Amino acid sequence: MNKYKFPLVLCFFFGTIPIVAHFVNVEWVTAPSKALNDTWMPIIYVFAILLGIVNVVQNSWTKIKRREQGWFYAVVLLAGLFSMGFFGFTGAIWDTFGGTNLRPDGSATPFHWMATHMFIPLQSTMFALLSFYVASAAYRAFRARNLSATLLLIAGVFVMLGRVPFGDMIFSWLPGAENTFSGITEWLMDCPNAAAQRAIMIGAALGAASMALKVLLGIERSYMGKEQED
Amino acid sequence: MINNWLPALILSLIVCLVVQEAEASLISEFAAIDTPLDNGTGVTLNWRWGGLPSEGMRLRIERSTISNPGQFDLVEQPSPSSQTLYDQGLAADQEYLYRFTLTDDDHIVEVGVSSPVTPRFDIDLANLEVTDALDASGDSIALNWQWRQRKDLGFHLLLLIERKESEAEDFFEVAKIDPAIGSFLDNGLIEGSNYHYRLTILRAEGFEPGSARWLSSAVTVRRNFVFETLQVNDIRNDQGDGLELRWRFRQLDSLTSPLLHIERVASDGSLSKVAEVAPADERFTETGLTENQPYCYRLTLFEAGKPVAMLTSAEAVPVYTVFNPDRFNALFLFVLFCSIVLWLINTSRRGKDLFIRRIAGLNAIEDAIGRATEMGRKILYIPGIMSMDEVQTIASLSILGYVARYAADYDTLFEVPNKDPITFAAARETVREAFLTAGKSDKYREDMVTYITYDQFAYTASVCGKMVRERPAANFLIGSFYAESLLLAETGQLTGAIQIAGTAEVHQLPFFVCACDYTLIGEELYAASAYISKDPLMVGSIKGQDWVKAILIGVLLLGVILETAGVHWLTAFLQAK
Repeated sequence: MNKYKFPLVLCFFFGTIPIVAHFVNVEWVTAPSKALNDTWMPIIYVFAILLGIVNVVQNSWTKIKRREQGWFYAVVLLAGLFSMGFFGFTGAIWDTFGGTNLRPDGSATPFHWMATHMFIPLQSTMFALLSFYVASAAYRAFRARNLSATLLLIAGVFVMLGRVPFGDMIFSWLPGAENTFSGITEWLMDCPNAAAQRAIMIGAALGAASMALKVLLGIERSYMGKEQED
Repeated sequence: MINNWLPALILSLIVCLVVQEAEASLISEFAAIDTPLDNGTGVTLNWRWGGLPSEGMRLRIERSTISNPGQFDLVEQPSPSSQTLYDQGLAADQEYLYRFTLTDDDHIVEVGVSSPVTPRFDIDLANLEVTDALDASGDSIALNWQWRQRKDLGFHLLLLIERKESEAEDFFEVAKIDPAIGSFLDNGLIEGSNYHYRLTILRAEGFEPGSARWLSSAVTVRRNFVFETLQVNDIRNDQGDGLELRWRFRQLDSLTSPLLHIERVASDGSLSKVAEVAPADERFTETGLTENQPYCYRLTLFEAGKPVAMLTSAEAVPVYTVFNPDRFNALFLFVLFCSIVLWLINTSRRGKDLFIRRIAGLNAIEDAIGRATEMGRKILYIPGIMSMDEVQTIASLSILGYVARYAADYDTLFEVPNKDPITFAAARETVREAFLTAGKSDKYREDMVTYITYDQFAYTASVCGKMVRERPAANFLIGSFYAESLLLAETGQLTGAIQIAGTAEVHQLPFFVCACDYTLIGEELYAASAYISKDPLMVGSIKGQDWVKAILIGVLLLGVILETAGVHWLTAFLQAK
C-alpha cells in the first residue's frame, strides 16, 4: 500500500458515513457522523491552528532576521500576536488582569481594551473600504462597450433608481406610475436575476456533488498533490 | 262492681306507664364525633331513640367549649324524628361538648351530655380556579385545584365534580376522578352560558354525609380566537423519542409580554409542565419521550401573568424509522446521479473520446504563469477563506496542484497565503507534492505556503498589502469567498496583475466578473481539475455531470408544464423535506 492508498481508504470510509446518515437513522451511523463534526473537527483545528501560529512566527522572524522588504510589519505582527496572546491566555486561564472581558466595575481588561480599541476599528476600516471598491468596480462594469455591457448598464440604472426613494419620486406626479422604478427593479431581481442565479446554483451543486463523488472514489486526488491514478 | 274497680284499673295503668316511662331513657345514645373528610370545621351528632317521643316533645341541642364549660349555646332544635345533626363552622382543633335537652311542654324530660369532641382538619382546597378554558371551540371550562390534606386519612378518595347551569337547578354529576390529578377540563358546554360547579370529596366506597364541599362562582364559556393553529408531529428520522409542536397566534403583537406555557396532558388528565417559551418562536421540540406512546399537550398563553388563551392538542406518537421516507426523493436522485457518472467514467476509461467545451479561464492559467515568469514576479494563489469541509476549497486545491506544478516547471516565484489552518496544512502538502512531481523538490520552500490569520478582514488586509508591496504578476482567487472578494480582486486589478478568479458563491461572482480578467463560474470551478488533466476518469465524471444537468433541465420543463396544467405530483415528489 503506497502512501496515497491509506488516506484514500480513510477518505472513502469517513466520507460515506455522513451520506448514509442522511438517509438512515441508525445510532451507530448517525453518532459517528455527529462526532466527526462536533468532536473530531475541533481537535484537528486546534492542532492545525498551532501549526499556523508556528508558521507565522517562523516566517516573521526570518523576515526580521534577514531585514527583508517590509520587515517592520513583521515586528508589528509579532508584537500584536504575543501581546494579545499573553493577555488572552493569562486572562482566560488564570483570570489575571481581570480576565478577558469587562471587569465588574465596568473598566476594560487589557485584552478587552485591545480588542475594542485596536482590533475592531481596524476590522471596520477594512470593511468600510468595500464601499469605495464597489464604486470603482461599478464604474468599470457599467461602461457601455458592447451590447451586453449596455444592457447591464441599463438594468443597473433601473435597479439603482428602484432601490432609492428618489426613483419613485420621479413619476410620483403621474397617477398609477408611483412605483415604476421599484416595480421594474422587483421584476429584474425576481425574474431574470433569480433565473440566472438559480441556473448557476444548479450547475454548482451538480459540480460539487460530482467533485465529492470523485474525491470519495479516489478519482480526484490532485488536492493531495497526486494527479494520476496508480 | 265494674264501676268500682274500673277507675282504679285505669289509674294503675297510667301509673305503670308513667313509672315505665320514667325508668326507660328516651334517647339511648348521644354521640358527637369529628365529621370525617371535612376541612376541620364540623362535628357530627348522632343519637338513637329508645322509645317513641310524644308529639309535644322538643329536642334542643346545645354546645359548649371546654374552656367555658358552664355556658351552653343553642345549636339547633331538630325535629324529634331526626337522628343526626351536622354542626359546622367550628374552630378546628378546639374541644367541644354537646348537651341535648328533651322537653315536654316546658318540662324537662331528659338531659344528656356527649363526650368531648375535637373537629380535626382532614382535607381542604388550598386553591380552586374555575375558568373558561380559553379554547377556540368555546365549549370548555377548566377546573384547577390544589389540596391541603392530612397525611393519615387512611382511605382512598374520589372527587365528585358536579355542575348546574342556573341557580334554580340541581347539581348533576359530571365526573368522579382522583382528587390528586388537580385539573379537569369540562367539555361539551354551550358557548355564552353560565355554569356553577360543586366539588365534593368522597370515600371511594360511596358518599360520606357531611363531606367537605366547595362551590364555584358562575363561569361563562367563551370562544377564544387567539390561537390559529396547534400541531404536534413526530420528528422524522429521529430516535423515536421526539415530538415537534408548531403553533400560530392571531394578533400576537397586541399582547404585552406574552409567555407560552407548554404542559403535557397525561392519559388520566394530569398535567406536567414541559417548558415556558416565547409565543413568537412558533415551534418547540421535546425529546426524551417514549417511543410509540401517545402524547398530548396543552398550551396556555399568558399575558402579564394572566392566561388569555388555552388550547389542547390532538395526540401524537413519536415513531422510530430506520429509513427516512421523506428523503426518498433525494436517495432516488443520488442513485441516478451516481449511476450516470460512474457509467460515463467507465465509458471514458474504455477509451471513448468525450468532448468538453472550452473554458477560457482555465486556458488562461498557463498564460498567467508564463506572464509571471517573464516578468520575474510572483504568482499569488488565494484558496478562499473556508476550510476543507467546503467542496470549493477542495476544488481550489486541485487547481493549486496544477498551478504549483507549472510554477515549479518554470521556476516562478509562488506564494499561497491562507486564512484557514486546515486549508493551510492541506495546501502545503499539495504544493510540496506538486514540486516533487515536477522534479523540483529542491525549489520548494516552506514560506511558499503561509498562514496569515483566522480573521477575515485581517487576512484581507495582509493579502492586499502583499499585492500592493510585492506586485505579483498573476493573482489566482479560486475557492469560497465572501465580503473580502471585491477587496482582494479590486486591489489586484489596481496593481495591474492578471487575475483568474473562480467561485461557486453566486453573490461574489459579479465582483469577480467586474474586477478579474477571467472568472470560473460555478460548475467550471469543479470541472477545472478534469479540464486541465484531461484524465479520462475525470473527464467521464464531468460528462456525467452534464448528462444529469440535461435530465434536470428536462424535469424542470416538464415541471413547468405540469404545474401550469394544475398537476402537482412532480413538484410534490421533488420537494425538499
